[in-house]
Amino acid sequence: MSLIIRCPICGKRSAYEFRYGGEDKGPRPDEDSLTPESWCDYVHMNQCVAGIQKEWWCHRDGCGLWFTIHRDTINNLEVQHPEAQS
Amino acid sequence: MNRLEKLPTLRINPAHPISFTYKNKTCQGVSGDTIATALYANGIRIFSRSLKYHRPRGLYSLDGESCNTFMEVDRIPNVCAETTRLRDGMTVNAQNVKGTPEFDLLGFLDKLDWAMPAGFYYRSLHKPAWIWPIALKQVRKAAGLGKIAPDFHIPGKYDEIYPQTDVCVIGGGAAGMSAALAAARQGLRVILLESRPWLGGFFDYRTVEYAGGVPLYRRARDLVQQLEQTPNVRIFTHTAMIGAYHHNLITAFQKGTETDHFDERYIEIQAQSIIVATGCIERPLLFENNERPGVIQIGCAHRLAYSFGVLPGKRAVFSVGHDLGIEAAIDLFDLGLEIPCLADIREDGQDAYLVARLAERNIPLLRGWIAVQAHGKTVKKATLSPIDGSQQRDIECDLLVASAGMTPVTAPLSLLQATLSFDDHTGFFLPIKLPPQVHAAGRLLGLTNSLSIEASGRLAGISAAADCGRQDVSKLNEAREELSRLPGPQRGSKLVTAPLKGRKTFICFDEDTTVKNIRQAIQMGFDEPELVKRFTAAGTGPGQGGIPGHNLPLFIAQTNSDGDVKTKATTVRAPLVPAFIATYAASKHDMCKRTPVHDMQEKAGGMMRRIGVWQRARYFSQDLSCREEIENVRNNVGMLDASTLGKFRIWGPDALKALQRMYVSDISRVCEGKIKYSAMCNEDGCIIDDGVIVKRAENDYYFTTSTGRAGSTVEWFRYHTRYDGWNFYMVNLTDVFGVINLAGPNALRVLEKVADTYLSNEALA
Repeated sequence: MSLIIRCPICGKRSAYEFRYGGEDKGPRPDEDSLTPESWCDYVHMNQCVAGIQKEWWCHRDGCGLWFTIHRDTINNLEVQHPEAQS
Repeated sequence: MNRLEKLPTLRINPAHPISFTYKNKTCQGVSGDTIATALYANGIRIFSRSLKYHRPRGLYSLDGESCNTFMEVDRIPNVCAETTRLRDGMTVNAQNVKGTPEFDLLGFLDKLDWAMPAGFYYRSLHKPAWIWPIALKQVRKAAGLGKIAPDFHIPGKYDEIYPQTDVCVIGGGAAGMSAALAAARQGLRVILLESRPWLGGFFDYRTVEYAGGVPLYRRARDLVQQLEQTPNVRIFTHTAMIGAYHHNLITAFQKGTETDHFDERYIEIQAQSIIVATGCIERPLLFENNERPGVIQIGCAHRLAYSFGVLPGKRAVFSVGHDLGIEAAIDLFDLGLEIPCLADIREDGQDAYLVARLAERNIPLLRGWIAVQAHGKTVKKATLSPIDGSQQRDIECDLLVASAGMTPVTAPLSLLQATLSFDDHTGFFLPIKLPPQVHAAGRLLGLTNSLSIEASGRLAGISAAADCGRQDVSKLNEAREELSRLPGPQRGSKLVTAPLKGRKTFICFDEDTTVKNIRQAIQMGFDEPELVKRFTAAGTGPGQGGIPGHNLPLFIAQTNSDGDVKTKATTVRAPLVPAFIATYAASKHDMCKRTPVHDMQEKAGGMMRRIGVWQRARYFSQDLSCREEIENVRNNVGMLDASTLGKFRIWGPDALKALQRMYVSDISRVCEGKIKYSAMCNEDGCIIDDGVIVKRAENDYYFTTSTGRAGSTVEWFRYHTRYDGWNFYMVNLTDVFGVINLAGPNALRVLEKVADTYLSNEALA
């Protein structure tokens, strides 16, 4: 694996130091109107974008922070300014 | 055998002898030797027998391009003797031999080559079907490389490192060193990889003038000194690149010296920019018996003398295709090697200065001549002929120095996805399109002039610095101009084969593939190099195409009657150099945690076992059923070391909210100073952890987790609250506190003895 991730605290580091936390799907659904189906959709239904995706990473072997980055899933590179790409 | 001790280029120390065992006899080498050079110095000429025909094979190159010198060393098979340093007490043996390398009982197989045409086992050994398992057994017995004992455990120390750098330079010759210096002077971190045990490449062993009266080897040592004085350059010698991956990730492995803490180590380098300056190897000359012991390449002969102090023979015929061959002949003649003649494939274009020096020494230069056959089990005689085959001349010799020309080491560029194309002028596969942040420099571009080679290195170094944000336009233009003023790529030599059937003309040594086999494959309709490679196995051996890599596509393009076939290189794949699996696995850093009562438990006879990151006592009795231990806990009292459990404090305004989200129970119902047992679930509702929660104060809790999840609990809490922005703090106290679990009917009575307050079930409720 040769992904480089920019941690907001520690800077650019090898992806070996990080843990993937899935797509950024937004906050959990509201608990009051939650049904088993809507929860299941939230947990398991992913966009699986072929292209630039916003996702969570944790700098496990560093500062421990959870943060989001944009990554191009086609070439497995972090994208710093996704607005400029689209 | 006497070593040449006075040469200033030597890489050995003749004052430090090393003894080793070969064929149960003690031999002497010296410090700095490889296994192969030490054996050669001891007069060993036949190192092994070949894969299929059991032909004798000897030292041919010094960089492990073929498996000719693969040997069994300290019970490890397939050790490349050319690239492995000699160590005191080594036990070396030949492999794939029935008898001795000199007299192999299976040597008769060489006469049976007519029965083994290209792809014979694909075509003939499957009808009837029952014949294959029988044939397989016999083939396995006769052919192959070394054998490993099933119970063999590889000894040695293995390690791994993962350095990051701005610029990674592959190849520590003049171009690579110049590139590393140029990039480092822009203030960048540089890693320099060199597969040989020392830097210097083609400069290292040569005494011809570099410039201003300075010999090449002196210039190389100057560059090394400059590099060593540059603190932002990290040099890895005896480090072969094995792979290149996406995003400029380079993998390599390094062989350690006596003073290193490892025997081999795996290196994974993350670089912003890469410079490939791997230089050239020699393209083997194709003639009958071209792989006989006694036939060696120019660089091998030259370096044997000038780096290792071993005069490679007494009387040597040269058949070469480039100026380095003439230079080597002059240098070796001056050391006392008798040279009856030097045949050069080229009709013209030789360096006039070198030709004059040949004439001074009365060495006849045969322009447009080529070796067509070597005679003897080890070379006794060579037959030379003009390229048109109009006449033949036999010359007695004990060494035939043969090389058709140079061939660039492009494998790293191919792995980095560079586009290579055959260039008619140099006869090289040259990079015509490089991926971003990859540069090429030096001799592999076809440059032969020493100053041009260094200038191309400097240009690559400055270009790589620009990739890393150190743009220096004036320096870049300066380097470009400098290079353009110097001589460009030199004309390379064409593929010339002796006018023979090629029954014993080997295009691939590792797989015993002859020119005749290639012709057979082409006649059967395999026109593409990739197909011929697979059908004849040429280039699939451990040398990874080092010997046939260039000749095969050239030969196919020349031989194919359709005439429309472009010269195409075959695909290169990692690993470029064979490395032990042990090196990939690296060492097992067995780091564990010990609880505060570890020593006490061990003294009490506790059997310690690994549980996650911890060492923990599993049981205390010799009796494996542990009946006594269990009964004592049931009927009396027992003590368990529970220090490995995860222990945390969580506090802050939103601490309770976080706990409520993580635990299945209602934590708000826990009163101050009280304890509650509960469980955690994952998002699918499966229980993943359990433990107790103690309320210390308002929004201040202490809780425990299982041993296995202690490491990921903080990460888990933060993940599940990542959208909320809650304000709470967590501290992992797992290593801070020891924990004792008391159990059994008498637990309370034991606890009362150590506690300073009155304890009862009622008081605890």
